[in-house]
Amino acid sequence: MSKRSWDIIIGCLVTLFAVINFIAISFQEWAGGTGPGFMKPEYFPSIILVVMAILGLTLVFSAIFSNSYISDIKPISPRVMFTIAVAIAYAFFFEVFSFFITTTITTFILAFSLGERRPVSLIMLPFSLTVFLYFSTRFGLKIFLP
Amino acid sequence: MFSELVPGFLLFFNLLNLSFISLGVFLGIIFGSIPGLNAIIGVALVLPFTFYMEPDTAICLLLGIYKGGVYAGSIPAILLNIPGAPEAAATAQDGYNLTKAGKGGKALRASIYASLIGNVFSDILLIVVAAQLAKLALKVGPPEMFALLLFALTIIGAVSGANFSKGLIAGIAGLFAASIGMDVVTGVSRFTFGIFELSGGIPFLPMLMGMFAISEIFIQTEQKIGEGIQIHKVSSETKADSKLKWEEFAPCLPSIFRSCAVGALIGAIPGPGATTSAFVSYALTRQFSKNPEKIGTGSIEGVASPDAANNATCSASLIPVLTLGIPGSPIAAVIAGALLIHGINPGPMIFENNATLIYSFYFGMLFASFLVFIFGFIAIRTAIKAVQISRSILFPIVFILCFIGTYANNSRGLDLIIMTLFGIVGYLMRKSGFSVPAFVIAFLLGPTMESAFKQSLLIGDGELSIFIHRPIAVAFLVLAILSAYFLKRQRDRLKTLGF
Repeated sequence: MSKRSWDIIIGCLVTLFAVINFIAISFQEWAGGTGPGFMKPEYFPSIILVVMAILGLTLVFSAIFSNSYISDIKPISPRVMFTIAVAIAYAFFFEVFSFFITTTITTFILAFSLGERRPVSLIMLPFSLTVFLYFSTRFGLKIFLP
Repeated sequence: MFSELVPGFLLFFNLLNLSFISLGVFLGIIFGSIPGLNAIIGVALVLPFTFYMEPDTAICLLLGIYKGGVYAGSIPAILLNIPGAPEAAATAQDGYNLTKAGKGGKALRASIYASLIGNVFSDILLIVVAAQLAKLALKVGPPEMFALLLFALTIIGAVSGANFSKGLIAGIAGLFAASIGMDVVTGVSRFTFGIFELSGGIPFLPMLMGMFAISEIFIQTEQKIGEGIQIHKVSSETKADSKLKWEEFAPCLPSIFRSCAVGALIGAIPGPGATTSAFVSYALTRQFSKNPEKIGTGSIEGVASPDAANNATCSASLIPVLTLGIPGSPIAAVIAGALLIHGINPGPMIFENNATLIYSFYFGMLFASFLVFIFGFIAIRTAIKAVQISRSILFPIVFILCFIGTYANNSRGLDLIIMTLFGIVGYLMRKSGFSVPAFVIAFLLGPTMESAFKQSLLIGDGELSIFIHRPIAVAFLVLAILSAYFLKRQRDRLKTLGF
């Protein structure tokens, strides 16, 4: 995809986000805020959203009319997608499956996906890192890890 | 002003602070010299572990990392032509040419001397200017404060994104993210979607770690793996090649001092930061040097001047944080966050409420500047080894440290999810040319900006015209427009020069 098209899409999304939120907060009934209008909780965010919508449109128009776009945007590589998936899984399972299991597995997967192929490093890194971090945080910093 | 000098020194001068500042400088040199890692990631990674320290010790550690990290970006730039940080890219041009000519030792020495001068210059500037500026800032009312914050955010956005609107969108998105949670005036929850944990707002540390560290890991995993790093051996040089003679260094002094002034000035302005200062001073050196034809081909002056500028931004970039509570650079935002976490509100009142701490902070900075000089010589070999650490080993370690650090703060799984989400957002923002620092700085300034805005309207009976009836506020608004225009033009000019 070209950078120009990407910027047009992003600009539209920013504008759409701002408009939807603006409408939502305009119709929402707020529990507090009985004072003057500018003291109400939605006042400042509304201004932010209006500016955001204007800037989103500015991005769209500058992308349409600018001559400086020459290159294409680099697609997200499968390795990054995989790393993101690993990060999400680690964040969700950290408390569920304990620090030891999740950290050892995550470190192994990341090292492998980043190209580490030496068997000693692949085994030693996850294990030694997990043990070192557990004992240094648990007994050194007195932080409880699940 | 000086009545707090002795208590400040006594607070700073103890074995614990000295050890932690030394550790910080050492860690900073390691972080700074590894391409892909930098001082910001170093400070962000260590930040959660400072919760258990006294504020003075914590700040000493973070300052050490900051100073060490900024200096060390030049080591791989000189030896490998791989800048450890963007601001070291200007140093790489002449530094690497010197290394290829077998004079890497000379280049490294020039870099260390210039860094020391730059660092001490900006430390002194901070010490002299900050307290006076804070006194002035105390006289500023809410309309002026709002206009000042708007000015800061506009120029941060204008210079930091891939283009003007992208920088500003990042800033405005940061302000919007800051409005999530309890309203500062009414106490009503906004945009929390019923998640109780968000009523206090988006937690700062997970957001920071996600935006700076996790997104950087995603960016780094995109790079090709297994590219060989060619290292020119410094040890094979003769003594004459590695030793920097006074006759060689002395002619660079005018450039170094000019670069210090440029670096400190640009550093003190919220927005442009170390990279701009390094390139502007490099361009000025090229313009004013007695031997302009040598700049870019392997000149000592071409190494010393961007390094002096780059290091001169360090302490200068803390001036807006300490005096106005405005973090003008990503690292200043992290340090401002560290101060907040330790219960210290950055801003003009800091000199009233925490004067002793601030003076201990000054001593810490000066000490760190000299430590960078000493460690710079000692740690070069370690830094070279650090550069060679395989990414497949390094990034899993950094990744896990981010998670442990974030979890250690509150022992809350939600923080890990928030950090990951912001990591993805930060990655997409960087990929699309939106400024992550602008987002983070706006996020930090959001609550202050909102309360200044509402207080201004209260003073002006709800009329927005209050901002044009106050001369200082008008001046800041005009300045915002003018400086955004000129800084953007300057950046475009540097781009056309090929920087």
